[in-house]
Amino acid sequence: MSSDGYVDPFQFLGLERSGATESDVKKAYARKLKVTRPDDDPQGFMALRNAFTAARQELRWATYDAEDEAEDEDDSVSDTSDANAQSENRPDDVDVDKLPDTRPETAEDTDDDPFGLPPNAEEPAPQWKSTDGAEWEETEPLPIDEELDPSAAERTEPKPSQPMLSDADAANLAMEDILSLLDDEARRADWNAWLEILDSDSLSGIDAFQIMSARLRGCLCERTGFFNDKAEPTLGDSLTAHVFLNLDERFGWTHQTSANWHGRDQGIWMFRLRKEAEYQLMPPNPWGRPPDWKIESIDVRKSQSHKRQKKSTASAFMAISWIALRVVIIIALIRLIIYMAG
Amino acid sequence: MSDSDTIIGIDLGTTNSLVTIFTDDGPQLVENALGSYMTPSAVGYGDDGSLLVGQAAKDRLVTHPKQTSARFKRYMGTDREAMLGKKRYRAEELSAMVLRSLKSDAETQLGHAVQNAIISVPAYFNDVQRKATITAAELAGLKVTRLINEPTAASLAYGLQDRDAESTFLVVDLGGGTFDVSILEMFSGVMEVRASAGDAFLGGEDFTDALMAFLADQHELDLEKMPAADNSRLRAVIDRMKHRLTETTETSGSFVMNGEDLLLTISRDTFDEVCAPLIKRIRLPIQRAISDAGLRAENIDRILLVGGATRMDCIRGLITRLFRRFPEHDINPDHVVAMGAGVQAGLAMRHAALEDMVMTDVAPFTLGHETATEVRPGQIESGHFSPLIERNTVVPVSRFHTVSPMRKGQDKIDLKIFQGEAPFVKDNVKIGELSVSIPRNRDAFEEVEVRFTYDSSGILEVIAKVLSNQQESRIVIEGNPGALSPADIEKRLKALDALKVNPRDTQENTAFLARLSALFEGLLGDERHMVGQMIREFEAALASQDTRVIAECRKSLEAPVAQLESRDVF
Repeated sequence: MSSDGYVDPFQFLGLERSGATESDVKKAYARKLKVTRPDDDPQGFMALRNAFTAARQELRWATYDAEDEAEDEDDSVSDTSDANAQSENRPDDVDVDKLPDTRPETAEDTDDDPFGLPPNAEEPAPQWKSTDGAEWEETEPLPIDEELDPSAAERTEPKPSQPMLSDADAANLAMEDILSLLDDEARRADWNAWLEILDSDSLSGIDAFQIMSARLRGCLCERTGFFNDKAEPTLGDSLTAHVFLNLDERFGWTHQTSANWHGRDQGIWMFRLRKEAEYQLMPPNPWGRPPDWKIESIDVRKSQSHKRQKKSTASAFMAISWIALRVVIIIALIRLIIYMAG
Repeated sequence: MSDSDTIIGIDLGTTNSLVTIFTDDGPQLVENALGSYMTPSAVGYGDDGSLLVGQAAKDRLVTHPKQTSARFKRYMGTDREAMLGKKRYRAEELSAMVLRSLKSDAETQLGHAVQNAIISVPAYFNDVQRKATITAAELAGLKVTRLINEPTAASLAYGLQDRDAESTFLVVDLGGGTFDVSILEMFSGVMEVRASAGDAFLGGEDFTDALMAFLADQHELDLEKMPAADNSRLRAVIDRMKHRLTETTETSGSFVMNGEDLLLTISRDTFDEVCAPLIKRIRLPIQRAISDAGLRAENIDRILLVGGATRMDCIRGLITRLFRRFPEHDINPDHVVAMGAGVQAGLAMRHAALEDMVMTDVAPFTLGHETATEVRPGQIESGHFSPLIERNTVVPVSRFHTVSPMRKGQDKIDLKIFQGEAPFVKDNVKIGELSVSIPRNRDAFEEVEVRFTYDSSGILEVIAKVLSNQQESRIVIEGNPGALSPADIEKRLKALDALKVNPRDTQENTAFLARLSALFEGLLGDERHMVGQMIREFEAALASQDTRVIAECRKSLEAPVAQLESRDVF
C-alpha cells in the first residue's frame, strides 16, 4: 500500500492486462501465493494481496459496465413494448408531481453519492480503491438502486401474486404492502400486521431477506428525513417507536453497520433513530433527556424542531416545580436546625 | 523434521475438546486415556485431591458440583473465576488443565514430548479472548504456533478432500458455546476466507438452558434455589433429552428430586418453539457474512454444518429454508474442527502431503479508534468510531491513516483502540489505549500517522508516528480485563505444576466410578439399588489392585450402565 510508485496489478501478477480473465488472475495469484506465504513474508503477501484485489476489482467493474450497457439496450426496447410493467422499476418514469415530499429530488442521483456525506478527512479516498474496501462497495448494488422505488411503487397497482416469485419481486410486493400499511392509521402501530407481511414464505430465503433489509432501511431513512439534511431524525406519525424497535431487532440494522460508506451512514442514522424511539418509550423524566440519550456533543444545538420544544415546555414546568419543592424542603431544614440550635 | 518441531492441532471447545496429529494419511484424532476422541472440557478435584480432567470431571459435576467446573470457555478473557474446592481459578487456568491432558494424550500416542500447538478459536473471539487462549496454552506448556478460526479449520478439513476443485463454501458452526459463520473460496489449492461473522455467546448450551428453563417452569421447579448438585443433574437429564430429540420427535426423561420421580417430556415442535428466540439469532450472522462477501445464496456451492449443535433439527431446517437446499454434514460435526486444526498443523510443519496448499484468513472484527468529528459546521461530536481495518479484510494486513489533534498547541493525543461494528465507540469493545505525545505547536496542526498491523493469529499492533519529528509510539495495552502479566503467568504456571494429576493408568477407573455415582444419583427404587450394587462390586475390584480384575469388572458393567443411561421412559 506504499504511496510512492504505482505498480500495475496485472504486471505485478505477471499477466497481460488485455484479455486477462478472473480465472487467470486467480491462478496467477495462487501461483505467487505459494512462494509468498502470509506467515513467512507478511510484507510480500500484503503487496500480492493488494495487487490481486485490485486486478479482480478492475475485471469486475469491466463486467458490470458491460452488463449495464446490455441492460440499457434492453430498457430502451421495453420502454416501447412494455412500459407499464417497467414503470415500477424505473423511477424516472414516474410523475414527479404526485410524489410525496419526502422523496429525494432525483432518483438517478443514487449513483454518485447523493446523500451529501461529508468526505472523511482522515481517510484518503484513493486508499479504498486499492484495498478490500472497494470490493465491498458492490455488495448492495441491487438494494441501492431500488430502495428509492417504494414511493413510485406506491401508486402502481399490486400485481397478482404468482406461485414462484423471484426474491426481488417478493421484496417489491412486500414493500408495496408495507407502504400501504404505513398509510393505514388503524393498523400501522400493530406489530402483528407487520409480521404478516415480513413472515411470508416468499421472504424466507436469505437473498430476499437481504433485499428487504436494505430496501426497508432506505425507506425508513427516507421517511425520517435522512435525505433532507435534517439534523436529527424524527419518527413521524406513521412509524411508531415500538414498530421501529421491532424492525431494528429483526433486521439488526444498529447492530451490524454495513461495510460500505453509504450503508455506514444509514447505519448511523438508524442508530439515532433508535435513540429517538427509545426516548419516546421512556417514562417522563423531570430533568429532560437522560444523559445517555445522545452522544456527547461539544456545541449546543442551535435550532430545535417545534415538536421537541413542546415536549420541553412540559418537562421545564416539571423541572421548575421540582426545584421549588427542593428549595422549600431545604428552607424547612435550615429553620429546623436554627430552632434546634437556639 | 525433529520431534521437537511436531505441532499438534487442538480444538478447545466449550463442551468437548479434541487433539489431532498430522500424519502421512492426513490428520488423525488422538484417543484419550478412556479410548475416546472427545475429552469433555471439564475439570475437577477427585476425592484424593488429585486433578481430574474430562469425562470423570464431567460426571462428578453431578455428584460434586463444588469441586468441578465446566463451560469455562465462555469466561475466557474475563476476570471471572471459578471455585474449585477451596481455590479460585481463572478460565485460562482451567483451560490449561484441559490442554495439559490433551497434550499428554498426544505425547503418549507420538512417544515424544510436544511443545507446539495450533489451537482453534471461534472466529468471533475478540482480541482479549484470543490472548487468553494463548495464555492458557502457555500455562499448559504449549507454544501456540498460531490460532485458527474454527470455521476455517472446518473448511480446511472439507477442502482437503477435493483440493483442486474451485468452489465457495459456507460454514455454519454451532458449537457448545459459540456460533460462527464463514464463507470460504477455494481455487488451485488456495483456501481464502472471504467473510466471517458470528455470536460468541450462542451455542448448544443455550438450547439446553432454554429447554431447562421451559421444563422447570412447567414443573414449578425453582432453578435458582435448587441445590447445585440437583441443578447439574437436571441439566444432564435435559441435555440427554435434547440429544435424543435429534432422532425422535418426542422424548422424555426422569428426574429424581427429594425422593420423587419427576417425568419430563418434550416434543420436537415444543422444543422448536422454546428455541425460536435462539434460532432468530442465527439468521443475522449468516446474512451478514453473505453480504460482506458480496455474494448471493446462489453463489454458494457448498453449505457445511459443523459443531455438535447443528445436529438439531431446527438448525438444519432453518438452513434449508434460508438457502432452499440441504446442507452437508459428511464429516462428523464434532470432529471436523479438530481435523482442520490438524491440517493447519500439517501446513505449519510444511508436511509434504500439503505442499501445494495455502490458506488466508480474515480479521473478523472492524478495528479502529475513537475520533471526534465535525458533524455540522461548528458542532464537534466525540465518541465516533473511526475504522482502520475493516472487518473481513484478509490478514496479515497493515493500514494507516493520518489524524490531527483537535486544537493547535495540543501536546498529547489519547488514542483509544476499539473493536466492533457500531458507529459510536461506546457500543464497541475497547481493547487498548495508546498515549501519543506530540510536540507543542501553536501555529499549525500536527499530524500523526496511525498504523494498525494485524497478524494472522489475530494479534494487533498499533504504532503512532508523529510526522514532524518521526517519533514513534507503540501500543502498551493497559487495563485489559482478560490479560495476565508475565509474572502472573509464571506464578500460576508453578501453581499448576504443583497440582497432582490423576495418573493416566487410573483415569479410566476414576471416570467409571464417577459415571456410576452420577447414574446412582439420578435413579430411584430398584434401579438405584442395582447401581448401588454395581458401585460396591467395582470398588471391590478396585481394592484388589489387580488391573486385570478391574478391567474385567468394568467391561462386564459397561453394557448395563450404558442401557440405564440411555433409558428413555417411553
